[in-house]
Amino acid sequence: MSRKDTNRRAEYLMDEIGGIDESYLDEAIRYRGSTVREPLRTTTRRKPIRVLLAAASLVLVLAVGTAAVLTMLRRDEPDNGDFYTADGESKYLTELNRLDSLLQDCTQGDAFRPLAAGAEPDYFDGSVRLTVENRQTGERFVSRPLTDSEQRQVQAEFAASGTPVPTGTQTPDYLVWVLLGDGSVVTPCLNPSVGNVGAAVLFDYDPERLPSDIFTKLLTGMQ
Amino acid sequence: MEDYQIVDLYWARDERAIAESDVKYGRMLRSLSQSCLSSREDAEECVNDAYLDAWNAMPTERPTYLGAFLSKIVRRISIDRFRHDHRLKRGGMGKAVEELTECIPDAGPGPAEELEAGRLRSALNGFLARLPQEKRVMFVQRYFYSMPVREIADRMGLSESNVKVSLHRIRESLRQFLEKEELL
Repeated sequence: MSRKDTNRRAEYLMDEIGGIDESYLDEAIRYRGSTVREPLRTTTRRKPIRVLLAAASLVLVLAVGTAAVLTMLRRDEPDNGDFYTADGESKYLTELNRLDSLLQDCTQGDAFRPLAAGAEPDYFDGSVRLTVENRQTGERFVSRPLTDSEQRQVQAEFAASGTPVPTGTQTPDYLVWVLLGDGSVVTPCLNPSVGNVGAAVLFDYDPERLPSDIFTKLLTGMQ
Repeated sequence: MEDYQIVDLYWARDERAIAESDVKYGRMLRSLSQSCLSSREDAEECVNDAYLDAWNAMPTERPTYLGAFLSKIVRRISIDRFRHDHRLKRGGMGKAVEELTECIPDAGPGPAEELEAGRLRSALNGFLARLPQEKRVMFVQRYFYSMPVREIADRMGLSESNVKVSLHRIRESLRQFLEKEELL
């Protein structure tokens, strides 16, 4: 299907959205966020082989889940003020530039290979991999499967606090995700929570945190 | 003033109906139109045109949700104006349309075939009915009201990243749904 045709259909879809039930429109006008939310439902596909692959990465998923809970508990504690120190912004930018630079170097190394334009990585191959995207060019790179030791570093990263990101500041040039091999996609740049785990999609994000030294050491080892 | 009282004014051909509509919904309607058009002046004109359309539509119609009723008119007029002026380019509503291209399955019958049957509209309502309320509201705010992601995040008390990820998943679900229903 041509781009023009796709746009025409999307435009048509936009028109039809204009005809949806008025009760939904009214609901959207009046809705105010609730403090109690339903958990997001993931849409992981189910096939027998994938069940086995999911089991293989279960330990890592559980680790991420545990880290999520720990992080959420930690966020409930009083702010220690580090985020708001006078040099907080410069610390963030320094780390952001360092991460971008590391990711750029990684994509040029042997551990990563480029994906063809428009291609998606295999989300269900049972191995844990890193995927990097150049935000400007849209180029994507996927790493070799992580070793056991590297997977432990990834687990440790999600248990670490990382650097909080001030709102409204510079966004990174590179996006990085961890593919868990069972369809789950997470990134060390978002706080580990249920809502920040993707299902078989490389999603766009603005960082909520920057990875700690654990992750930068991992990247350094993969250059 | 309650919606039904304003509707009564329309039915009574009382011009205060428009003033009361504007007091209650004017700000939201201008915001809706402006998010489609990126121009304050054009948005103002579209809202005024919408009040005229509403004036002509009532009596005959008696909307239960006046805000939603007026929103539909404003959105239609704004989209028509947008297409007339810009023909689907980035910025304003163009960005929201571009996102919706992700929901378009690779193959299927053309819009003309679906238009008559009205299947798509009905299917969209069915799709929305099955979404959890928070996701449904997010979808409607983004793709009906063309609200910026930041505003949706503020209204819902979520991070922008969370809203973006959620919208991405909803679009993916919608694409699968439309594919399954052999629509679009």
